[in-house]
Amino acid sequence: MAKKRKKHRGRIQAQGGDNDLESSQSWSQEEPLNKEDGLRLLEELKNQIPEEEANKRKYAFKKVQEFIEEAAENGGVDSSIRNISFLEPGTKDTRVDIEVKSGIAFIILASLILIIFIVWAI
Amino acid sequence: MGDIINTIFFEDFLLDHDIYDANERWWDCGIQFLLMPYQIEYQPYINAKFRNGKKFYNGNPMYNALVSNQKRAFKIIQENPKETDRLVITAWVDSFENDDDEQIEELTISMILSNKTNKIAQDWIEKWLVELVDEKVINELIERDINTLQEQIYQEE
Repeated sequence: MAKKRKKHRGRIQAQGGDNDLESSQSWSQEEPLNKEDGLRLLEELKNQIPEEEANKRKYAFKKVQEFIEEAAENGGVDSSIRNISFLEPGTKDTRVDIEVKSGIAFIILASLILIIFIVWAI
Repeated sequence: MGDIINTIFFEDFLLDHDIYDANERWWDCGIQFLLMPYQIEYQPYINAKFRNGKKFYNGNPMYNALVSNQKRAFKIIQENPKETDRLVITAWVDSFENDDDEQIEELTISMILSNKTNKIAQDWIEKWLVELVDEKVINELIERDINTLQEQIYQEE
């Protein structure tokens, strides 16, 4: 029997560059990913890759952080955004990507509690 | 970047939503004009909006199209022309899974929009969606065009 997939899935990836890096932090869970956990995954990705690679993506990491924060202020994002790339200036393809595969991501914790309460109440 | 800077289109697209919307329509017309002769059917696959309906309005992506029967897509990231530390145009190929778990090959073009970069982008899109060149060939083409453009910019300076 096929394993049931979690409702909310996605990943943040550090990609490209001279070393053709491919490193990611993913989420797969029953409840939407909140902003704090999104920022935590971003930080973990930064710490997971070699320092040199993280330094090469300083701008891209900052832009992803700003995107997560802006998303949280606007109800989050869903899988219709697919894959958003944040390119490091002056490079061919050194970047950090956000991929929302299903469900909702980057919502404010209070909104998440409200969603859980509504689902539970129904 | 003399010649390229002088021919920038929609320079203030990040400052004015009306300019941004016109910029989007310009891309839509340009891609229709490019692909219509080949009767290629395509549709947008990225919804560049937050869940409250607010558009990103950041040029990322400015335009996107998926050709389902080819399992190929492309998106345009339009960069701020006032950030001059950028390459004026670059691109790469990656893939993502669609809702049916099929792999879609995606060409991403990141560019400052000018007369010159528009021609290069249209050429890459044509090679990608009409001639259906593989990833290796499009990467070689991207590399070659970027190098040529960088040389031209260097000579102008």
